[in-house]
Amino acid sequence: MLNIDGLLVYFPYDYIYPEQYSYMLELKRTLDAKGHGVLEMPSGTGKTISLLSLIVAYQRAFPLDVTKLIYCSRTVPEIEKVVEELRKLMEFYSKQTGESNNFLALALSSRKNLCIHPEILHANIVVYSYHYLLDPKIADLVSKELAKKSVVVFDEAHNIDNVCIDSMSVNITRRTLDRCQNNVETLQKTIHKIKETDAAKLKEEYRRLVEGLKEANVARETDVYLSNPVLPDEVLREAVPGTIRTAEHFVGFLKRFLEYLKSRLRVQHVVQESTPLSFCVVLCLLRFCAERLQSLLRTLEIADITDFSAVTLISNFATLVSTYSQGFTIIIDDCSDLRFFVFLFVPLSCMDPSIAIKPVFQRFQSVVITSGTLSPLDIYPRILDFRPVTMASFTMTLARTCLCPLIIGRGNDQVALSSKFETREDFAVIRNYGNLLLEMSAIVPDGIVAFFTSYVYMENIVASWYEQGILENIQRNKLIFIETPDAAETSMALEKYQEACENGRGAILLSVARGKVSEGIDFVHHFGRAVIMFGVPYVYTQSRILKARLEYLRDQFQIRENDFLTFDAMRHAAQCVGRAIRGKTDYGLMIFADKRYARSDKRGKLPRWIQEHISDGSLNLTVDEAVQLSKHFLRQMAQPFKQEDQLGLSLLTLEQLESEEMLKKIAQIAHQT
Amino acid sequence: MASLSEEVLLVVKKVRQRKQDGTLYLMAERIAWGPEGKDRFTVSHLYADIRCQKISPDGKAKIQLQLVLHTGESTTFHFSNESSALKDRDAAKELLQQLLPKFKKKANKELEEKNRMLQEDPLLFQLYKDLVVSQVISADEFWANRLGEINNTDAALYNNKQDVGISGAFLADIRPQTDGCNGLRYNLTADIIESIFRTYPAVKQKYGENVPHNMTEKEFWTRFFQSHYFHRDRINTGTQDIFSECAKQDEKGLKTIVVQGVKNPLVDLLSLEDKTLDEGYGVCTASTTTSTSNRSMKESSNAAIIKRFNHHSAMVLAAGSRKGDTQTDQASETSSTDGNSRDSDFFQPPVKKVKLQEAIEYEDLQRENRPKTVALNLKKSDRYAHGPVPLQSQHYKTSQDIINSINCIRHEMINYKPNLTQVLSSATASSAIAALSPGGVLMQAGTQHAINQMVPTEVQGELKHLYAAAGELLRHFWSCFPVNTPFLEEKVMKMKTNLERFQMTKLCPFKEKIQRQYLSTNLTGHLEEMLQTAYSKFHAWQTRRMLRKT
Repeated sequence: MLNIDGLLVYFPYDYIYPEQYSYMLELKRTLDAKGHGVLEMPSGTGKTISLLSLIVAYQRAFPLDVTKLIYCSRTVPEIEKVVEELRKLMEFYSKQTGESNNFLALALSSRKNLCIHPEILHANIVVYSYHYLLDPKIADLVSKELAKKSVVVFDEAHNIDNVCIDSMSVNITRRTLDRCQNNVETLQKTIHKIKETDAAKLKEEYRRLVEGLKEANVARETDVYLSNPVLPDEVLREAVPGTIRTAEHFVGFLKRFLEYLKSRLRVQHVVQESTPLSFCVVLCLLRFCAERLQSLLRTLEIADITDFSAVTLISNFATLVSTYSQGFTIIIDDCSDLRFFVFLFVPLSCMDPSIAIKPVFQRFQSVVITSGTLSPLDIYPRILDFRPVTMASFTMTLARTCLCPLIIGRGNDQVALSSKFETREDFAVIRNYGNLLLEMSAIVPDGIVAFFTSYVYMENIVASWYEQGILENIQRNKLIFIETPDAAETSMALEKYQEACENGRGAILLSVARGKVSEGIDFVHHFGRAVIMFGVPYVYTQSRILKARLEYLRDQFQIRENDFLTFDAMRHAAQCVGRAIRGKTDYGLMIFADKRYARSDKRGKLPRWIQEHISDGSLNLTVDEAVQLSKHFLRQMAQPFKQEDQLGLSLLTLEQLESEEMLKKIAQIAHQT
Repeated sequence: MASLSEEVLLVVKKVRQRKQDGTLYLMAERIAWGPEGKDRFTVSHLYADIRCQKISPDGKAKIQLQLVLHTGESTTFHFSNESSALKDRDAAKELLQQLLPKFKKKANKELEEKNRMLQEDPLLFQLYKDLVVSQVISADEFWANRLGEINNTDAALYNNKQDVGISGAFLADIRPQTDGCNGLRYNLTADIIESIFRTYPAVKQKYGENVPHNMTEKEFWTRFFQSHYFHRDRINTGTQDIFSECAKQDEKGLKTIVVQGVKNPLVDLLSLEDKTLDEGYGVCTASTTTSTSNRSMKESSNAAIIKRFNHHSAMVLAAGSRKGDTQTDQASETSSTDGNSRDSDFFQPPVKKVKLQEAIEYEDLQRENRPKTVALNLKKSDRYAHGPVPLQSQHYKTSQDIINSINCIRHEMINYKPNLTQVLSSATASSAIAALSPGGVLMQAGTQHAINQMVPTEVQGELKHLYAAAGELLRHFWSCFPVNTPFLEEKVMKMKTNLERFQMTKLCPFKEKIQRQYLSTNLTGHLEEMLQTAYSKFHAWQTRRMLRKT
């Protein structure tokens, strides 16, 4: 039982990390202020349990101020972990208070077991994936009626902008259009049939539309619903235009729109244009497409909506295109022309993540964005367009320095190491990278994870290492497993990798930054004693979508292209190297093998808990120097590490926590910005 | 005796033994014969006891089969069925021919086991030499209570000797050398071949199919190294290459491993995402748009290398842990079944639950309740970490320090006043001094130590052996008490003579030998004392027995 700024919090452990206490303090301030927060705390310092204990305690203390906790995480295992921690907390509660708790917690995963509304409404805690809140298509079904006085937490939120963009972007291929054509024809047939048998139904629908979507409007004003960004307010205020009120007219309109899209796709060259595009004549009609289609589908009583995914997609596209003049771009791109039929894309790319998340920030009183790597903190409020009341980055208090970041800038032959485009094919660099891995494989126990900047780059390097016989030599020390584009194959490799670490043989996993492994798999303890980041994982800059997004950021938010690219690269690098440290008893090397990491504009964007361990002496090392430092580090870390060593420093008992001196120390842990 | 559960392999009627008609049974573990009309066996031999079988020559009138046992005894069966005697005998002979070698191995195994024990344990070997070879006790007595140990505890351990794993780089170890005339030489050892077979079962299969019917072993390996299978661009395996099939099989093997999926849900990338984006939504990424046919030759060969490395590592790993794997598989399966039944309210596979709980556990936040372990206590952890370091300049006392301390001591001595009322009496003091002088009561340990050093190592060794032998004999002797069976009675008598023989043949010569060299030292005193105790115990027992008898 802790006292956090006057709030009694049940914490289900005997000890507590100082940063957990500090984190809870900040969190409480955020809730008190009924504002939003951005909190960075290293993974493995018990972020989730701190969050849950505090918010649950807050909910119990002020049931009127905070009615619900909505906890969003990214991957299924993450969600399951949260549920496990929550279960532990609840058990602790019922043990301590002696009463069976009346908390209802709910976890939603995948649509297979989609939840029914009433349960969500009454649950005290809801745990689900980002998409349930951010993707308008699902949010409409699941999260629409969540109370305003909820606290929303986005955990592992370092990629939240991409999730937002993904959920609002639309791709249209020729195949989609063909399927859409079929859909429209089916619709037409069904309408005909119904007209013959049950004309009254269509009339009724028409009448409803004439009366307008008043109902929806009323509901939103009285704040019952979470607004759907696809369906902007204007649409609700206006009635559906007369020309598409009758079912036949609407279907006819859809057909014409489809024809138009087809003609656009026939264009062979690449087009990029900002909305509103050339079909502005029918702009007002397009805007109502999505809503009108929903209504029609309801009236026709079509049970299986999945068959109509194509036409739904097109109508959503139409609404988005006509609604947002800013933040969306249409790119007509032709990829792959080897096959006989040509895949053409009309992707409508959302450039502005804030569009998707805006309703969330507007509706809920507190939204907390948290992750192990959110640095630099100030960029998230800018790209997501919100105003946080608290922004803090917490370090990891350590009784021993269990992480060892090293920046290797040169090979033993003084060749500058870098993955930059000009030296990508450079034999000397590849050889030196190989040498680095070889040397490390000889001195690091158990598992090593290496990340490359892209899959193609990794393939080339692996082939080159194979030709030079480097891989053979590495095999003498450890087994090699490599990530492939195939998820099942990679899962197999991962499991075998863990097996090899487990049985003492030791293994190396070659993987890709931004890949599935780097985003979702932890390498605790011996599964990852060293992470090597080969190169700076910049995103592939030639993509048109990225270019468009960069332009948009520059124009709208005054974020320079390079700043954003570096920020993006560094957050992924931090994600990769952070995979190896999952707690204070863990230890691992973090090797940044690129001379560009030494520059302050790169280094400064690493999370504070990594940055503060980079000394000037570890900035521009050669491979040999790094090996010496690593040996020293590993030998020290291999010594037994006991609880007593941590107590009072990075681990506190309740008494220690209550001492004045410690409270003063704790105040320094949070780094306010 | 005729237990029903035994499997009867062959029944031969009309077989005479000791001029008595009867039936011969060959069973799973033994051969038995029973006289006509009675349902019990008068002759029964375990196959393991049979050393060999002999048959009468073809021309002879009596058709017989003789079994010679390890003990030297023999049993003769006479096949007396007129019409089919020869056929019967041959059937029995054939079957025995098949069965005996199997059991012989078992018998040999015991011998091997004894042999191995003697080889692995020099002390035991010495004991064996001292006691058995010099005929103090018989070999059977020696092994009597040792083999029990083997069969109970060690056997399991030794039979499951850990398999040697395979080096991950065994293919790299086959370094080709140029032979000087435009060719390459590969040096293959039995180990490497073993490694190849274990890692690539497909190659082993090919080997079995082709060698030696289609090609010589040398030819096989030559082709192996020439094949694309061995080299990187596996995609180009021609049809005439016998290894092209292997590549396909490997591919298939890899696929089956992949299809099996992973047990640990936390590494399952397929179920990582809560996939909610429909087709058509989301930012399209470049990788999904490039179709496989679009990839250049080089790219696909690179992909093949990556695949190959994954397969190779997986196979090497599997070869090393095949045995253990099946066990853990079973274990996890059984645990999963009963786990599910317990956990019926929440359908989560236990493996997953365990892994999740592991993942959320913060061991350092909880009070430690694990068994206490002894930590390595390093006084200078630096030296442990860096090895020996050149000697640094030490902190010496300056001469001024020394002078100062001398002055200090001198000063104290001047002021020293003896406190004569509280000193020891002169008698006590002198006795204390005597006790502490060399040879005194309190210095005995020191002198004994000196003797130990004085005795040359060979004598020490001999003494050690004597002690071991005497200990072994005495162990046998004392284990007979309390003597409550005729068998033990017999044994205790025998052991007593053994002890006496030991004293005569071993101990006395040794004693004489050292007396010739070191007159004063009495090294064997303790040994003799131990023997004497045994003798007196024996005599006490004997007199008591006599009394009881009379």
